[in-house]
Amino acid sequence: MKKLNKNGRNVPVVCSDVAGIALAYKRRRRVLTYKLLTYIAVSAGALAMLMMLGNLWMNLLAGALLGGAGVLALVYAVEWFTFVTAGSGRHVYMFGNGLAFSEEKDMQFCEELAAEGYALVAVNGFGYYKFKRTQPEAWSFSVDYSDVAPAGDGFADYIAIFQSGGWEYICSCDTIHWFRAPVGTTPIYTDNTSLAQKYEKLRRHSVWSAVTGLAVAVVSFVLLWIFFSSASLPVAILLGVLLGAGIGIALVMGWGIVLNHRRVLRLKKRATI
Amino acid sequence: MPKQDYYQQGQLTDVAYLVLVALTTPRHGYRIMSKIDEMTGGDVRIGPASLYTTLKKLTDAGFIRLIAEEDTKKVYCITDEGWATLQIEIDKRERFAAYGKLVMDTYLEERV
Repeated sequence: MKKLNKNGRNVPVVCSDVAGIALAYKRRRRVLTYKLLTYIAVSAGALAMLMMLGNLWMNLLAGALLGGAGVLALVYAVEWFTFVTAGSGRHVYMFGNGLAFSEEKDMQFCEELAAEGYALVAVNGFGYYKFKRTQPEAWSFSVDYSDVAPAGDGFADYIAIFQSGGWEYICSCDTIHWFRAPVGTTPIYTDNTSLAQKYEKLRRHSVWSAVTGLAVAVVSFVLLWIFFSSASLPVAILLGVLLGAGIGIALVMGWGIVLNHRRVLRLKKRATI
Repeated sequence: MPKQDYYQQGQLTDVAYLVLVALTTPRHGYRIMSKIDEMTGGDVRIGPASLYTTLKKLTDAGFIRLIAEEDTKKVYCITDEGWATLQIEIDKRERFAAYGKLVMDTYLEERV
Protein backbone atom coordinates (compact mmCIF):
# COMPACT_ATOMS: atom_id res chain seq x y z
CA MET A 1 0.00 0.00 0.00
CA LYS A 2 1.34 3.41 -0.97
CA LYS A 3 1.27 6.41 1.29
CA LEU A 4 1.82 10.05 0.31
CA ASN A 5 4.25 12.02 2.41
CA LYS A 6 3.95 15.76 2.99
CA ASN A 7 5.64 16.50 -0.32
CA GLY A 8 3.28 14.24 -2.21
CA ARG A 9 5.85 11.52 -2.82
CA ASN A 10 5.24 7.92 -1.99
CA VAL A 11 6.88 6.57 1.13
CA PRO A 12 6.81 3.07 2.53
CA VAL A 13 4.64 2.54 5.60
CA VAL A 14 6.93 3.19 8.54
CA CYS A 15 5.94 0.71 11.16
CA SER A 16 5.32 -2.69 9.69
CA ASP A 17 6.48 -4.90 12.52
CA VAL A 18 6.35 -4.53 16.26
CA ALA A 19 9.80 -5.96 16.91
CA GLY A 20 12.84 -3.76 16.38
CA ILE A 21 11.09 -0.58 17.43
CA ALA A 22 12.57 -0.63 20.93
CA LEU A 23 15.76 0.89 19.52
CA ALA A 24 13.91 3.98 18.31
CA TYR A 25 12.33 4.34 21.73
CA LYS A 26 15.75 4.23 23.43
CA ARG A 27 17.10 6.75 20.92
CA ARG A 28 14.25 9.08 21.78
CA ARG A 29 15.11 8.83 25.46
CA ARG A 30 18.74 9.69 24.77
CA VAL A 31 17.81 12.70 22.60
CA LEU A 32 15.49 13.85 25.38
CA THR A 33 18.26 13.68 27.96
CA TYR A 34 20.54 15.81 25.76
CA LYS A 35 17.80 18.37 25.13
CA LEU A 36 16.99 18.59 28.82
CA LEU A 37 20.63 19.06 29.83
CA THR A 38 21.12 21.76 27.14
CA TYR A 39 18.15 23.82 28.28
CA ILE A 40 19.08 23.46 31.95
CA ALA A 41 22.59 24.69 31.11
CA VAL A 42 21.25 27.69 29.14
CA SER A 43 18.82 28.58 31.95
CA ALA A 44 21.60 28.34 34.53
CA GLY A 45 23.80 30.57 32.36
CA ALA A 46 21.04 33.15 32.04
CA LEU A 47 20.44 33.03 35.79
CA ALA A 48 24.15 33.57 36.44
CA MET A 49 24.09 36.55 34.06
CA LEU A 50 21.16 38.01 36.00
CA MET A 51 23.05 37.62 39.29
CA MET A 52 26.19 39.32 38.05
CA LEU A 53 25.05 42.12 35.76
CA GLY A 54 23.56 45.38 36.91
CA ASN A 55 22.83 46.76 33.46
CA LEU A 56 19.10 46.85 32.71
CA TRP A 57 19.43 45.93 29.01
CA MET A 58 21.61 42.95 29.81
CA ASN A 59 19.10 41.92 32.45
CA LEU A 60 16.38 42.13 29.85
CA LEU A 61 18.33 39.88 27.51
CA ALA A 62 19.10 37.41 30.29
CA GLY A 63 15.46 37.46 31.33
CA ALA A 64 14.32 36.61 27.82
CA LEU A 65 16.88 33.81 27.63
CA LEU A 66 15.84 32.46 31.01
CA GLY A 67 12.19 32.62 30.01
CA GLY A 68 12.62 30.71 26.77
CA ALA A 69 15.13 28.11 27.96
CA GLY A 70 13.42 27.70 31.33
CA VAL A 71 10.05 26.89 29.78
CA LEU A 72 11.62 24.40 27.38
CA ALA A 73 13.64 22.82 30.22
CA LEU A 74 10.42 22.41 32.21
CA VAL A 75 8.59 20.90 29.23
CA TYR A 76 11.33 18.39 28.52
CA ALA A 77 11.79 17.62 32.22
CA VAL A 78 8.14 16.49 32.41
CA GLU A 79 8.60 14.37 29.29
CA TRP A 80 11.92 12.93 30.47
CA PHE A 81 10.48 12.07 33.85
CA THR A 82 7.50 10.21 32.39
CA PHE A 83 9.80 8.37 30.01
CA VAL A 84 12.24 7.29 32.67
CA THR A 85 9.42 6.09 34.91
CA ALA A 86 7.50 4.62 31.94
CA GLY A 87 8.04 1.06 33.08
CA SER A 88 5.78 1.48 36.09
CA GLY A 89 3.62 4.39 34.96
CA ARG A 90 0.36 4.19 33.07
CA HIS A 91 0.88 7.33 31.03
CA VAL A 92 3.70 8.78 28.96
CA TYR A 93 3.84 12.35 27.62
CA MET A 94 5.63 13.56 24.56
CA PHE A 95 6.16 17.14 23.52
CA GLY A 96 5.45 17.41 19.78
CA ASN A 97 7.96 19.32 17.70
CA GLY A 98 5.32 21.54 16.11
CA LEU A 99 3.10 20.16 13.36
CA ALA A 100 4.30 22.74 10.84
CA PHE A 101 7.81 21.27 11.11
CA SER A 102 7.57 17.67 12.11
CA GLU A 103 4.15 16.22 11.38
CA GLU A 104 5.72 13.06 9.96
CA LYS A 105 8.14 12.70 12.85
CA ASP A 106 5.27 13.06 15.33
CA MET A 107 3.18 10.45 13.52
CA GLN A 108 6.16 8.10 13.29
CA PHE A 109 6.76 8.45 16.98
CA CYS A 110 3.11 7.65 17.72
CA GLU A 111 3.56 4.51 15.61
CA GLU A 112 6.72 3.58 17.50
CA LEU A 113 5.07 4.10 20.87
CA ALA A 114 2.02 2.07 19.81
CA ALA A 115 4.38 -0.75 18.96
CA GLU A 116 5.93 -0.31 22.40
CA GLY A 117 2.52 -0.67 24.04
CA TYR A 118 1.57 2.99 24.47
CA ALA A 119 -1.61 4.15 22.73
CA LEU A 120 -2.21 7.82 21.90
CA VAL A 121 -5.18 9.13 23.88
CA ALA A 122 -5.01 12.92 23.76
CA VAL A 123 -3.15 15.98 22.49
CA ASN A 124 -3.43 19.33 24.25
CA GLY A 125 -3.05 22.90 23.05
CA PHE A 126 0.56 23.15 24.18
CA GLY A 127 1.54 20.29 21.93
CA TYR A 128 1.74 17.53 24.54
CA TYR A 129 0.87 14.06 23.30
CA LYS A 130 -0.52 11.79 26.00
CA PHE A 131 -0.13 8.01 25.74
CA LYS A 132 -1.72 5.24 27.80
CA ARG A 133 -0.18 1.85 28.56
CA THR A 134 -1.84 -0.95 26.54
CA GLN A 135 -0.83 -3.97 24.48
CA PRO A 136 1.87 -3.49 21.84
CA GLU A 137 0.04 -3.03 18.54
CA ALA A 138 0.97 -1.95 15.02
CA TRP A 139 -0.99 1.16 13.95
CA SER A 140 -0.63 3.91 11.38
CA PHE A 141 -1.37 7.45 12.56
CA SER A 142 -2.58 10.49 10.65
CA VAL A 143 -3.44 14.05 11.52
CA ASP A 144 -5.92 16.20 9.64
CA TYR A 145 -6.58 19.95 9.79
CA SER A 146 -10.23 20.61 9.17
CA ASP A 147 -12.74 23.41 9.56
CA VAL A 148 -14.93 21.56 12.08
CA ALA A 149 -14.34 21.37 15.84
CA PRO A 150 -15.64 18.39 17.90
CA ALA A 151 -18.54 20.47 19.24
CA GLY A 152 -19.32 21.90 15.83
CA ASP A 153 -22.00 21.13 13.30
CA GLY A 154 -20.99 18.42 10.84
CA PHE A 155 -18.32 16.83 13.04
CA ALA A 156 -20.19 13.52 13.32
CA ASP A 157 -20.40 13.34 9.53
CA TYR A 158 -16.68 14.16 9.23
CA ILE A 159 -15.78 11.34 11.65
CA ALA A 160 -18.21 8.94 9.93
CA ILE A 161 -16.43 9.46 6.60
CA PHE A 162 -13.08 8.68 8.21
CA GLN A 163 -14.54 5.60 9.86
CA SER A 164 -15.83 4.42 6.48
CA GLY A 165 -12.28 4.71 5.20
CA GLY A 166 -11.01 2.55 8.07
CA TRP A 167 -9.63 5.42 10.18
CA GLU A 168 -10.55 5.42 13.86
CA TYR A 169 -10.91 8.81 15.52
CA ILE A 170 -8.65 9.32 18.56
CA CYS A 171 -8.72 12.92 19.74
CA SER A 172 -8.78 16.56 18.72
CA CYS A 173 -7.17 19.84 19.55
CA ASP A 174 -9.58 22.49 18.30
CA THR A 175 -9.96 21.79 14.55
CA ILE A 176 -6.92 19.48 14.36
CA HIS A 177 -7.82 15.79 14.58
CA TRP A 178 -5.82 12.60 15.11
CA PHE A 179 -6.74 9.22 13.65
CA ARG A 180 -5.34 5.71 13.60
CA ALA A 181 -5.83 2.73 11.30
CA PRO A 182 -4.34 -0.73 10.83
CA VAL A 183 -1.06 -0.62 8.91
CA GLY A 184 -1.77 -0.77 5.18
CA THR A 185 -5.11 1.10 5.25
CA THR A 186 -5.64 3.55 2.36
CA PRO A 187 -4.07 6.87 3.51
CA ILE A 188 -6.45 9.69 4.47
CA TYR A 189 -5.25 11.78 1.52
CA THR A 190 -4.88 10.05 -1.84
CA ASP A 191 -4.45 12.99 -4.24
CA ASN A 192 -2.21 16.02 -4.26
CA THR A 193 -5.02 18.51 -4.93
CA SER A 194 -6.74 17.82 -1.63
CA LEU A 195 -3.41 17.30 0.17
CA ALA A 196 -2.43 20.84 -0.85
CA GLN A 197 -5.62 22.07 0.81
CA LYS A 198 -4.71 20.28 4.03
CA TYR A 199 -1.50 22.29 4.27
CA GLU A 200 -3.31 25.50 3.34
CA LYS A 201 -5.35 24.95 6.51
CA LEU A 202 -2.21 24.28 8.55
CA ARG A 203 -0.75 27.50 7.15
CA ARG A 204 -3.80 29.37 8.47
CA HIS A 205 -3.22 27.87 11.94
CA SER A 206 0.44 29.01 11.83
CA VAL A 207 -0.58 32.51 10.79
CA TRP A 208 -2.79 32.84 13.88
CA SER A 209 -0.01 31.61 16.18
CA ALA A 210 2.47 34.01 14.60
CA VAL A 211 0.05 36.93 15.02
CA THR A 212 -0.47 36.01 18.69
CA GLY A 213 3.29 35.86 19.29
CA LEU A 214 3.77 39.18 17.55
CA ALA A 215 0.98 40.78 19.64
CA VAL A 216 2.60 39.57 22.90
CA ALA A 217 5.97 40.93 21.75
CA VAL A 218 4.54 44.31 20.75
CA VAL A 219 2.56 44.76 23.99
CA SER A 220 5.53 43.86 26.20
CA PHE A 221 7.80 46.13 24.14
CA VAL A 222 5.41 49.07 24.52
CA LEU A 223 5.10 48.42 28.28
CA LEU A 224 8.90 48.30 28.55
CA TRP A 225 9.15 51.56 26.60
CA ILE A 226 6.75 53.28 29.00
CA PHE A 227 8.07 51.85 32.26
CA PHE A 228 11.70 51.47 31.24
CA SER A 229 13.19 53.92 33.74
CA SER A 230 10.80 53.27 36.60
CA ALA A 231 10.45 49.49 36.31
CA SER A 232 11.74 47.40 39.17
CA LEU A 233 14.07 44.54 38.33
CA PRO A 234 11.49 41.71 38.62
CA VAL A 235 9.05 43.59 36.37
CA ALA A 236 11.79 44.26 33.80
CA ILE A 237 12.75 40.59 33.84
CA LEU A 238 9.12 39.50 33.43
CA LEU A 239 8.60 41.86 30.50
CA GLY A 240 11.89 40.67 29.03
CA VAL A 241 10.71 37.08 29.30
CA LEU A 242 7.42 37.98 27.57
CA LEU A 243 9.20 39.95 24.85
CA GLY A 244 11.63 37.10 24.23
CA ALA A 245 8.85 34.51 24.15
CA GLY A 246 6.69 36.64 21.82
CA ILE A 247 9.50 37.27 19.35
CA GLY A 248 10.46 33.61 19.52
CA ILE A 249 6.93 32.39 18.77
CA ALA A 250 6.51 34.89 15.94
CA LEU A 251 9.84 33.88 14.35
CA VAL A 252 9.28 30.13 14.69
CA MET A 253 5.72 30.36 13.36
CA GLY A 254 6.84 32.69 10.57
CA TRP A 255 9.32 30.03 9.51
CA GLY A 256 6.52 27.45 9.77
CA ILE A 257 4.37 29.56 7.44
CA VAL A 258 7.20 29.79 4.91
CA LEU A 259 7.77 26.00 5.03
CA ASN A 260 4.06 25.30 4.62
CA HIS A 261 3.63 27.80 1.84
CA ARG A 262 6.44 26.15 -0.11
CA ARG A 263 4.90 22.73 0.53
CA VAL A 264 1.51 23.93 -0.77
CA LEU A 265 3.10 25.33 -3.93
CA ARG A 266 5.04 22.10 -4.48
CA LEU A 267 1.89 19.99 -4.08
CA LYS A 268 -0.14 22.23 -6.39
CA LYS A 269 2.53 21.91 -9.06
CA ARG A 270 2.30 18.14 -8.75
CA ALA A 271 -1.49 18.09 -8.56
CA THR A 272 -3.17 16.21 -11.36
CA ILE A 273 -6.19 17.64 -13.11
CA MET B 1 -2.07 35.33 -5.92
CA PRO B 2 -4.21 33.82 -8.69
CA LYS B 3 -6.25 30.94 -7.38
CA GLN B 4 -5.71 27.73 -9.26
CA ASP B 5 -9.15 26.31 -8.77
CA TYR B 6 -10.09 23.64 -11.27
CA TYR B 7 -13.68 23.47 -10.04
CA GLN B 8 -14.38 27.16 -10.60
CA GLN B 9 -13.08 26.81 -14.14
CA GLY B 10 -15.58 24.00 -14.66
CA GLN B 11 -12.85 21.37 -14.76
CA LEU B 12 -12.90 18.31 -12.56
CA THR B 13 -10.01 16.34 -11.11
CA ASP B 14 -10.20 12.57 -11.60
CA VAL B 15 -11.32 12.14 -8.00
CA ALA B 16 -14.01 14.82 -8.31
CA TYR B 17 -15.19 13.25 -11.58
CA LEU B 18 -15.60 9.83 -9.98
CA VAL B 19 -17.35 11.29 -6.92
CA LEU B 20 -19.75 13.18 -9.20
CA VAL B 21 -20.48 9.97 -11.14
CA ALA B 22 -21.14 8.15 -7.85
CA LEU B 23 -23.52 10.91 -6.77
CA THR B 24 -25.84 10.53 -9.77
CA THR B 25 -27.70 8.46 -7.16
CA PRO B 26 -28.00 10.03 -3.66
CA ARG B 27 -25.30 8.58 -1.38
CA HIS B 28 -23.43 9.29 1.85
CA GLY B 29 -19.68 9.01 2.47
CA TYR B 30 -19.38 5.27 2.91
CA ARG B 31 -21.65 4.51 -0.06
CA ILE B 32 -19.64 6.90 -2.27
CA MET B 33 -16.42 5.10 -1.37
CA SER B 34 -17.86 1.64 -1.97
CA LYS B 35 -19.48 2.75 -5.25
CA ILE B 36 -16.17 4.09 -6.57
CA ASP B 37 -14.45 0.91 -5.40
CA GLU B 38 -17.08 -1.14 -7.28
CA MET B 39 -17.04 1.06 -10.43
CA THR B 40 -13.28 0.93 -10.82
CA GLY B 41 -12.86 -2.64 -9.69
CA GLY B 42 -10.73 -1.48 -6.77
CA ASP B 43 -8.30 0.46 -9.02
CA VAL B 44 -9.16 3.76 -7.37
CA ARG B 45 -9.27 4.09 -3.62
CA ILE B 46 -10.14 7.48 -2.19
CA GLY B 47 -8.91 8.40 1.28
CA PRO B 48 -11.52 9.81 3.69
CA ALA B 49 -9.87 13.22 4.01
CA SER B 50 -9.62 13.52 0.23
CA LEU B 51 -13.29 12.54 -0.11
CA TYR B 52 -14.38 15.04 2.56
CA THR B 53 -12.43 17.86 0.87
CA THR B 54 -13.77 16.91 -2.56
CA LEU B 55 -17.39 16.83 -1.32
CA LYS B 56 -16.94 20.28 0.15
CA LYS B 57 -15.48 21.72 -3.04
CA LEU B 58 -18.14 20.13 -5.23
CA THR B 59 -20.83 21.56 -2.94
CA ASP B 60 -19.24 25.02 -3.03
CA ALA B 61 -19.08 24.85 -6.82
CA GLY B 62 -22.79 23.95 -6.91
CA PHE B 63 -22.29 20.58 -8.63
CA ILE B 64 -23.75 18.58 -5.73
CA ARG B 65 -25.99 19.45 -2.82
CA LEU B 66 -26.86 18.10 0.59
CA ILE B 67 -30.30 16.51 0.42
CA ALA B 68 -30.72 14.68 3.74
CA GLU B 69 -29.06 13.52 6.93
CA GLU B 70 -29.32 9.85 7.87
CA ASP B 71 -28.40 9.60 11.56
CA THR B 72 -25.31 11.77 11.43
CA LYS B 73 -24.37 10.97 7.86
CA LYS B 74 -24.90 13.58 5.18
CA VAL B 75 -26.47 12.41 1.94
CA TYR B 76 -25.47 14.26 -1.23
CA CYS B 77 -26.90 14.29 -4.74
CA ILE B 78 -25.86 15.77 -8.09
CA THR B 79 -27.48 19.07 -9.20
CA ASP B 80 -28.55 20.22 -12.69
CA GLU B 81 -25.33 22.17 -12.92
CA GLY B 82 -23.50 19.00 -11.91
CA TRP B 83 -25.18 17.01 -14.69
CA ALA B 84 -24.12 19.68 -17.24
CA THR B 85 -20.53 19.60 -16.00
CA LEU B 86 -20.56 15.81 -16.02
CA GLN B 87 -21.64 15.84 -19.68
CA ILE B 88 -18.77 18.19 -20.59
CA GLU B 89 -16.30 16.05 -18.64
CA ILE B 90 -17.47 12.80 -20.25
CA ASP B 91 -17.17 14.35 -23.74
CA LYS B 92 -13.71 15.65 -22.93
CA ARG B 93 -12.52 12.33 -21.53
CA GLU B 94 -13.94 10.49 -24.55
CA ARG B 95 -12.15 12.86 -26.95
CA PHE B 96 -8.87 12.44 -25.08
CA ALA B 97 -9.22 8.67 -25.16
CA ALA B 98 -10.02 8.82 -28.92
CA TYR B 99 -6.87 10.85 -29.69
CA GLY B 100 -4.77 8.31 -27.84
CA LYS B 101 -6.52 5.35 -29.42
CA LEU B 102 -5.90 6.73 -32.91
CA VAL B 103 -2.12 6.91 -32.53
CA MET B 104 -2.04 3.65 -30.62
CA ASP B 105 -3.86 1.82 -33.42
CA THR B 106 -1.42 3.22 -36.02
CA TYR B 107 1.52 2.16 -33.87
CA LEU B 108 0.17 -1.36 -33.42
CA GLU B 109 -0.56 -1.71 -37.18
CA GLU B 110 2.94 -0.57 -38.14
CA ARG B 111 4.48 -3.06 -35.76
CA VAL B 112 2.73 -6.03 -37.34
